[in-house]
Amino acid sequence: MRILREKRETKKIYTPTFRFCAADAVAIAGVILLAGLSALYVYRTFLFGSPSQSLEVIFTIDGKTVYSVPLQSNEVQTFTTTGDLGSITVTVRDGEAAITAADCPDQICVRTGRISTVGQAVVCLPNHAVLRIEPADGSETSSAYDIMAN
Amino acid sequence: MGKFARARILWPRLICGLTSALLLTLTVSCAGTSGTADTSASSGMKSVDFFAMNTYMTITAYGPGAADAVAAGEARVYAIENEFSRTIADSPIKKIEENAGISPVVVSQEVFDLIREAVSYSSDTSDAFDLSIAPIMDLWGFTDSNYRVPTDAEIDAVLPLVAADRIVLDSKALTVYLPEPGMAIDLGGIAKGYTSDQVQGEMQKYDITAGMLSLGGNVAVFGDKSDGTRWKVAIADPDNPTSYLGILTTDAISVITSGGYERYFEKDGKRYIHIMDPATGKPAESDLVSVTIITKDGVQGDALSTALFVMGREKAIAYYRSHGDFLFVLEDSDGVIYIPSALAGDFVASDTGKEIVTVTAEGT
Repeated sequence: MRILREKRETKKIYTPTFRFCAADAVAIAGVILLAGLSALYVYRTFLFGSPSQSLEVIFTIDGKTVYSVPLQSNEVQTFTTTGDLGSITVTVRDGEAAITAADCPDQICVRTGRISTVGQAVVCLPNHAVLRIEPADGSETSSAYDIMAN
Repeated sequence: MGKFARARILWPRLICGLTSALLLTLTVSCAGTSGTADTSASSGMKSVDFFAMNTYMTITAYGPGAADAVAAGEARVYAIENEFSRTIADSPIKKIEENAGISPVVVSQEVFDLIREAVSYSSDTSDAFDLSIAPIMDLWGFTDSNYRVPTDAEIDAVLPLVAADRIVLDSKALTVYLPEPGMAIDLGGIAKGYTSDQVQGEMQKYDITAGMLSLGGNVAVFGDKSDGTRWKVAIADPDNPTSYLGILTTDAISVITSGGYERYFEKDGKRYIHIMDPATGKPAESDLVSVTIITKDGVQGDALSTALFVMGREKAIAYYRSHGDFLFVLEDSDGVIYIPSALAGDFVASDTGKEIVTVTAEGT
């Protein structure tokens, strides 16, 4: 009898009935919201494509950066400098960059055309000038290829 | 249950819930970052770019010794340039030219071997590649960018100087002799391929897992990529050189392209390309617009990319069938791409709408 009574008392103290309350709802909503937000953050490039990543146009002469500007801009950007062979002009417009004028007999750089993705480059040999596109944060990006033969 | 008791249960639940939310966030974030870290070579990557040999070069290495490897690679480029440049005074190649018709010149084993290899490519390609083309390049202004169209009489006067078979080589005395004044050697059509092979050898002395080079568009890749995938090498589209004809999936290899689309000048509405036909002394009138050679041997790739361009489509394919120790991607002036059947599984054409023709090794 005495043992039975003790058991009954234990039952009474340690088994509270579960009742769904406002705090549970808040906690569950919090879990879902945070998980969703973090997933969105992590897979943002995957979901929204590369345009969301900020790219930068870098223009170097003899390895020194003489001009850099975000690739995506609402305005047309132009930059003119003087290389070994005279003036050379870079134009950035609608997410594309190009060497649009150069005082050199070859004109290879002008003919190369416009670039818009990481890994592409326009080279002006006589002026030792290189126009290329890099991710603004310096990280690597996935490209369709490792290197291009031309 | 009283109000007090409920509150005591409420707070632990809330804290527990938010903690697990936080943990879940961290888990998801970590999974995400480790997924992208694979491509950025966690064990070290180093890349340099510079101008040498009258072109733009990039050298990249992966692995703990990457920085040392690219520095050694760049140094090797300058060392080779000093040996083989025609425009650097006192280079062995310049000395041979200055002594044309006067006396043989003693050179290093390295210089002798590369000249001998170039001569053998000249005879093997029936002079479609010719290391003695230099006087013709000078005449057209391709050496100093003072472009002009010479008269036929001028060309006829210079053309006898273009004769690889007249170069006198003495392998015992290690001498090279050009028998007529005005003759000159230009290894520009082979030196970048040679340099590519040499730079790779130099880099592999260091603790690296992989590397890739572009010596003015002459590409070489070697080693294993950190993500375990094979190399992907794009081949430029002659119609739009920043875009590509297709992508080659490959292990260690050299990929070397020649075309008239990059270096040329225009006079009176006519285009004059920089690839000369040694037989005529004029820009090659090829029915090909782009020739890519895929090979383990950079010297072969460099020599044959020029030679097969000069040969034109029919002879280029015949040369492949009689040799077969390389692969290729050709594009002709009709915009048709030719690849050997051995390459069909590894070459994925991009969406240019160009027709692809597969060439068998035996012929039909």
